[in-house]
Amino acid sequence: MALYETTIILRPELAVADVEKAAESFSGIISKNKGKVIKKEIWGLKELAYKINKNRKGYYVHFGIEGTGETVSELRRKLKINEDVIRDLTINVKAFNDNAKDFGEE
Amino acid sequence: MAGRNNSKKNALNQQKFIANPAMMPQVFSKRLRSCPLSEEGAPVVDYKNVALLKQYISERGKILPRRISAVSSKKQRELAKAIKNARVLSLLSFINN
Repeated sequence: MALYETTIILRPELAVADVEKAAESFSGIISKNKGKVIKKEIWGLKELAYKINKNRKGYYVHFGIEGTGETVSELRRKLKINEDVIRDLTINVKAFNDNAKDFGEE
Repeated sequence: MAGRNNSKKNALNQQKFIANPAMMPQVFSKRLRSCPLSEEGAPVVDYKNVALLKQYISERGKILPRRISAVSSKKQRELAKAIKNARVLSLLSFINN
């Protein structure tokens, strides 16, 4: 089992409740595919550094995942289909770094 | 321009510095600085730590070369990867005009 970090950017038009619902469904996908959600953070509505699909802002959702390659490939496949997702990034990490809390304080 | 003249001048200057280290200008002594990311208690390089990454990009949004930031080659590799990941997530921009 390897550790992964996934960050997902969702459309800014969504309501906060929708974002939480989407985050729930992503957790569901992970746990159904031999994965375990270790960390789930909702960073909230943030300004994007550049426009993505004409969006200036986006909701950031961040996951820490323990799982296999199957977990990640299935999650990424589902994210690609989901139209609320405007960007996603999954990276393999050796350990979760929770000290990078400086994030967002600019 | 005048590349040949410059190299001649540099060689001359270097000779002067070898003979008299006190004449060495500040620019050169800067290079002797140790890596700010390898010290004890230095922050972990992470694509989420935007405040840290911003210290290692130019005004234009380019990744600063090691000769300016004095980062070790190992940390520079980590840093470059982290900056590129942060760009994908739109935490940093690819270009600043």
